[in-house]
Amino acid sequence: MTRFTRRRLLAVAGGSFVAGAAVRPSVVRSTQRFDAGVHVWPGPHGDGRGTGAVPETTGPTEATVAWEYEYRAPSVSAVPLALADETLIVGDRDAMRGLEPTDGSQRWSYALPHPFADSTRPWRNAVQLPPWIVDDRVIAVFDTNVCALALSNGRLQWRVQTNTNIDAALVAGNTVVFDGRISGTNALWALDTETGVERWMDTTDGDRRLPIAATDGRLYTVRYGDRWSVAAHDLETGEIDWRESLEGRPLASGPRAAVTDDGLYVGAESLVALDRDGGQRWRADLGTAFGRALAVAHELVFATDVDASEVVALETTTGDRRWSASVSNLARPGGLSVDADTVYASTTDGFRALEVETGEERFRFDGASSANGDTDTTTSPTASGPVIPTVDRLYQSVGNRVYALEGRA
Amino acid sequence: MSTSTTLNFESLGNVVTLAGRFVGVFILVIFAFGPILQVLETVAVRWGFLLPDWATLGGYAVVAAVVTVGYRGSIDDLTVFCVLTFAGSLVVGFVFGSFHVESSWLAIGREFALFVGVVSLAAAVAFRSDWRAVFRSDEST
Repeated sequence: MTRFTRRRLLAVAGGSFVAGAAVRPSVVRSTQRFDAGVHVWPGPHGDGRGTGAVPETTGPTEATVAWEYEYRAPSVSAVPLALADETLIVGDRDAMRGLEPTDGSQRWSYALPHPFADSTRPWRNAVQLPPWIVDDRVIAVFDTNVCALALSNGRLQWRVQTNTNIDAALVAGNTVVFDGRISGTNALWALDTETGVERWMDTTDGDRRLPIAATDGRLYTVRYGDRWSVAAHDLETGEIDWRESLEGRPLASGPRAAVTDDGLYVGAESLVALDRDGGQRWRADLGTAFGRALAVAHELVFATDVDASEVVALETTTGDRRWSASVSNLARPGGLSVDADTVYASTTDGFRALEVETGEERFRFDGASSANGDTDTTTSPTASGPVIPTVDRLYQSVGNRVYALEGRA
Repeated sequence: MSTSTTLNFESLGNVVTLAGRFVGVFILVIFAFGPILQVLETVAVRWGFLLPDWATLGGYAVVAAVVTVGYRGSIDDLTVFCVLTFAGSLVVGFVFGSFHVESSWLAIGREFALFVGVVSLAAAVAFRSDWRAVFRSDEST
């Protein structure tokens, strides 16, 4: 007598289908949040707002190297640092690594295996974009794959494959938004960071839209085309609330934006300030080689004018220039970050620390040039990332190394 | 004219039959077990491995070899089972949707459960019913 009677088989089939129906995406997806999270520096420019600012933090007043970490193979397209309390996340070319912030020792690394790799062809999926930290996981983009890794040990938690390269990814609350191509159509895709389950997909106009900033349940994107435009989406549904066409060329190297309670600041050929409803407030021309570096805090917008080798501070309300400071060797695109009293402007050999209110130089770090040898730090997008300020340390990626700097608090 | 060896045509015929059966089963297995091998691949990724393409073919070959050697039932039943499993997987994917996400244990478990359901239903129809009678009423009389 067989155990596989028809009745039993039908019972198993019924049970399986009921279970499959019960575990729908909408059931397992976590409740969406819009908070900025608890981590020190969860993304490439701080949190999802992209302000590059930790205005409550007073950093050290000088910089000596506490430790340095040399990349195995520097990434070609990522600004690769994110910082949680216990872990500094570093994006190498083909692996994500978790470092101990106090001494730079490696705690874990993860490389997404390549399907065609073997002993003679050690191919890897390249790290394409900067990492994000959300809750207890790291969101990483390996070629066409969006992955979540455990923050504590780097183990893969979920992976979503797309069929095209991803140009931008942004984490807002517990949602990761990125551009993708689905069945030949450009789409903006939002996933739950806890499970990887889709929250929504927007294919409006079939345009290629890149996420640039998010706050308070609203996501901002940039669309490239004959003219470029900024759009605001409802972060719960992906639907477009408004869109605004802007003049000038978009940046080939990618958009850079920051959003605050006052409005949205978008960098391209020029720097444009919009209010939260899409109305243009002011526009600042900063030369043809606007550095794309941007930070917003203390009612000021800080930006770099690479042509003029200047860092400028503009009033957020009017766009009027409050001060400008000459800084040689500004990195391109480089980075700007701000803490309670200091603006950090990335240079090709480190950074300059400037007084927030006046632009006067407080101290500098230029020790990366000798360590980097012949590395061309002017052409690689990762040449010099923004400084991450904390109370007792500054962290920065310059050329082929990551530096932890300390000084008097 | 003489030969020092003689061909055992019966053995040769058995080998050819077995090979043909293997090829047929291999094709059926690719249709029927493709979805579950994809699920197994996601499990491998979860553990840090990504299987090369030839591993998938190897997996199909192993399953086909086991079925070829171990299955003693009607090849008609097996064909119906595999076709129903393939079609069922498509229908289930359409009706229940997909998570898109891979390597989450939840998604893996769900895919596995749905595949078990499809296989069970296909087996109930293919191996345990008088489906032949529907098409070949002359044989049942």
